[in-house]
Amino acid sequence: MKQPIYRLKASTDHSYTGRQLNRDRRIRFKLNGREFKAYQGDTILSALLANGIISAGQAGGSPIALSTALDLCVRYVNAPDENASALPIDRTPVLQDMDLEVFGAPANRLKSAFGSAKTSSLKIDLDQSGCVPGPLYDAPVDARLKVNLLVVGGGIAGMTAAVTAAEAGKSVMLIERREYLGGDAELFGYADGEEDPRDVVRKLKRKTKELDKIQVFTATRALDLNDRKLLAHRVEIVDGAARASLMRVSARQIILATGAGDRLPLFPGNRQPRIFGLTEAFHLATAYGIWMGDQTAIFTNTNIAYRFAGQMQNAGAKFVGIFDARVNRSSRFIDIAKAGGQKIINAARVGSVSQLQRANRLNIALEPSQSGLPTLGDFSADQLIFNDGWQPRLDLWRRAGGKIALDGTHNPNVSAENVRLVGSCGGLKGHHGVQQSAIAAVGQMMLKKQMEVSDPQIDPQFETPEGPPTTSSKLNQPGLPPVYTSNSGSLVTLSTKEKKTLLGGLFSRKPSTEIGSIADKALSFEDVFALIQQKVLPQAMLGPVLKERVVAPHLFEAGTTKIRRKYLADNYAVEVPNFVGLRFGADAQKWSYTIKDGTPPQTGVMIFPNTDASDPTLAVGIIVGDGNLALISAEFSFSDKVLVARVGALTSTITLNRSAQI
Amino acid sequence: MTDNFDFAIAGSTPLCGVLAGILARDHGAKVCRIGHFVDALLPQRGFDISAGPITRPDTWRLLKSSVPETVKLLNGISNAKVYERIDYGMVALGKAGVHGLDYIQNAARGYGAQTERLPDSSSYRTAYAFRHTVRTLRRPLIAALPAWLDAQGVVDIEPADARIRKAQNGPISVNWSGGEAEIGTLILAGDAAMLAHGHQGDVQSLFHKLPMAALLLETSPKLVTPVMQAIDAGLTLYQRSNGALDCAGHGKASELGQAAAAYFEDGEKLRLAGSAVFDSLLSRDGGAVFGAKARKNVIYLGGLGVTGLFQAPAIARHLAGKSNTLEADYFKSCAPPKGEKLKRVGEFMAPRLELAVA
Repeated sequence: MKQPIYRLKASTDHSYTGRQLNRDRRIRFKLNGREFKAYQGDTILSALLANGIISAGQAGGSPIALSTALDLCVRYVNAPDENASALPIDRTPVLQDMDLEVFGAPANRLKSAFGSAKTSSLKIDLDQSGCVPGPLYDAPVDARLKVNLLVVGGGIAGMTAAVTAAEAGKSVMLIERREYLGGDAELFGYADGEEDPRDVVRKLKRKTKELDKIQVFTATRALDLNDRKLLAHRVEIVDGAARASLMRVSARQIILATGAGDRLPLFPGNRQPRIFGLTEAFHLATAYGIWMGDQTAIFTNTNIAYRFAGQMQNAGAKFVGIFDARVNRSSRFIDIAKAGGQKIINAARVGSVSQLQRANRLNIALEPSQSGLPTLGDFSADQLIFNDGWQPRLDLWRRAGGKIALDGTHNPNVSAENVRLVGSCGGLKGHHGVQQSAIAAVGQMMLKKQMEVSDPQIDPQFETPEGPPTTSSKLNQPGLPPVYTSNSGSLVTLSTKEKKTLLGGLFSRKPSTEIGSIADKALSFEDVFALIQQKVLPQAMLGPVLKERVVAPHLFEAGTTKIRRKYLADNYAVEVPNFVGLRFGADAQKWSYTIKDGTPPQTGVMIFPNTDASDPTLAVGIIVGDGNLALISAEFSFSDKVLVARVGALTSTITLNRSAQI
Repeated sequence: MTDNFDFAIAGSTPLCGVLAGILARDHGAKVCRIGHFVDALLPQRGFDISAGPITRPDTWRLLKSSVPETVKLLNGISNAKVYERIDYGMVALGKAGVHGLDYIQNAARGYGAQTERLPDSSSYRTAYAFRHTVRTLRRPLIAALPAWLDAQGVVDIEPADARIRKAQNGPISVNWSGGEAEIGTLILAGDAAMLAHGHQGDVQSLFHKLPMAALLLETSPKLVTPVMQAIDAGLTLYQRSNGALDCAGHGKASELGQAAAAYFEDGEKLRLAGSAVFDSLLSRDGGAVFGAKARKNVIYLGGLGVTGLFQAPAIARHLAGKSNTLEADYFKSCAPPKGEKLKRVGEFMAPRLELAVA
């Protein structure tokens, strides 16, 4: 069977043909011994998806989608088995004749990957392997840089901040995870009177390039932020080969413009292959022309998904339906979708999703989003794109010491020192407000100027706001795939158990949601909010769990002798530690002794006043040194004293000779 | 004003919950509990194990009777398994630690503990396995305690909502959204509670304050025994049933992670899944602290080491004035000194006292 090629055709009629690609330059590369075709400009991830490799492998007996969120890495075959050789698939460009293998998966499993040319999976055992999420954090730090202003995020907000600071004469470092600047602003469109975000992005990119004061690092992911020091992982091409490195950037001021991501709706099968968040689907389509099949279903809780569907319809995509969790809602984008003949179902959420293996399709079971509404049927589609609302990306903010509110947004009343949030991660919505927030932050931090930020919004009666997060009623129903709490490598799942409670003298069984998976990897911000939302975690645990479990998954190797000795610092020097010595009084004395009868006692053997005593509370001393000395309480410390050393039934009679210095 | 409480127990450990329940169930006391249990999702700061690096034979003697009693109690808390029996490993790295360990295992055997020397390893000098040691399973225990406490009539007060007022030389009261009540005796159980609610001078006179770190490390190969305690390094490794590893000790988190990795052969590397830093209290006399200082109605309960939970029935009896002679004598030796010079009794090793900040 020929693998499907999930790529939109090149066209000048729309902007979803893959602007990163040079379709005139076809290149080949190998992964796990199998050859793939790609275009110049593809990443490993986009090339794999385009070639029909849509699953990373299995976790908990169920397939997991190959996606940006998984942080999966590859390395060159025969590369030294060093952490520095791990290349993230979402940021590493495909180069001609690359010969790669999955990083961190044991060799015996790799041999079986692609055992069949029909497979659409990398076949990684995600329950066992060390593929995610760690390897990025393990490379040695090979660059230490110092800057005045560091901007994280290369969307409209980040570029505006960088340009504003550079135009004021300040030097700026701008880092962006993707291979290109621009962010997701184009997804959102614009209101009357606003400038087209495509024009805004174009101008900002040009200025960013022109201004010498701005140093741009693309394909660079911010991993950790602590005490104004940022740890970032960068992929670059050196001597014709992809190379990864870690850099530590010390900055006087930091602006976080990390945007907002898709909140993962909670339903069984929510991380199956062929399921994408709206921003990821938008990114893959615009940058790489990736589109999975002919029939797409959309589940949404916002209006922007309608806009995206309309645009994709213009690009030739077909939709089986748009399912909206909200009951009463209005939007100009909904009107346009209706006019375009889209099938729209209100008050619907995803109950579960499963794979229709033979058909390479998904079965999407819908259910009413509110009680009392009629049941809904199943739909089959090539892919499901979801937009259950937006989750500001605040991991770095939290790690920098910023506070988080219970609804998953930042707490504007508590700032992290010398760190500012701008753009949509700071709660701004329109790109006018987004830009203003960036200008205001730079003014406040670097130029000591205060500026009001306005973020005009269309009246809710015309553009209904996003609905509350959705949760399927079928959490962990037998036979259904797992429910994940985030799109990250933490792989935390939910399960439902029946809890027996005593009510009015009778036992009743009540379903209770719990953490289903082992949850022993570092958690993501989204995991924690899903657990709070599901009442698996009490609200009071929000702060502690964010602080203690949303951590950078650093690797520890066995400590040096120096470190281990440090742990024993005050204990190496003494023979009898206080916690033993004091047991026999502060004035206990050490004596040499001779054995009158019995076997020589070993260290730690207790000494008793006579043969009758065996209860350890009656012990008057112990054998110390190398077995040749006795520590004796002062009451029994005198020459020629006869005592008994005892271990169980074994006794030896000893006579004290002379005292020694302790 | 609601009904007054005989006891208010402030603290976040399972000991606090179990103690509150026993006081209410077995001694008819009116009890409230102020504190959140530290969720099992977090790196564990402390562990509940029925044996520990204990040098006072009296403590082993107390545990000999209180461990079976506690196990019986745990059986009644939940239908789910809330404890298991394991081999508990105690290891010593330095010469002094070896002396201590040799003595400890002899003292433990004097009270019926079954110990066995573990094979030599490059990770330590000497190690013993304490067979059939009981450890609680934190997640199911914490999940079961609220319903059990509710059934015993213990009132749970949200700590963020609670205001404890201590009138000078007078009564103590607690005010919360559910009402206001007088408290007969306030028990500060554990380091966090003593630091939050204790009199600063009292706490300083009884304890050293040391920075401590707790790590949660991703699923690791099996340790030689599910719990390993390096008695002279102040380091405890606790492998959860899913293979994840909790590691608690004094000093910096990065050093602790490296020290933990040293307990695995073949250069095993351990990946961080969670990290916490906090202040711990180490008793100045080297043993458990249980009793009042100047204020008769504030009880300090700390320095119990890992076996605290397994002393809960005896502690509850002592609080209720129903101790037997042995228990009364033992807890008398744990009472804070009243004015006179602190007498060092020795019990637990005090590693890295140079790190003490107070």
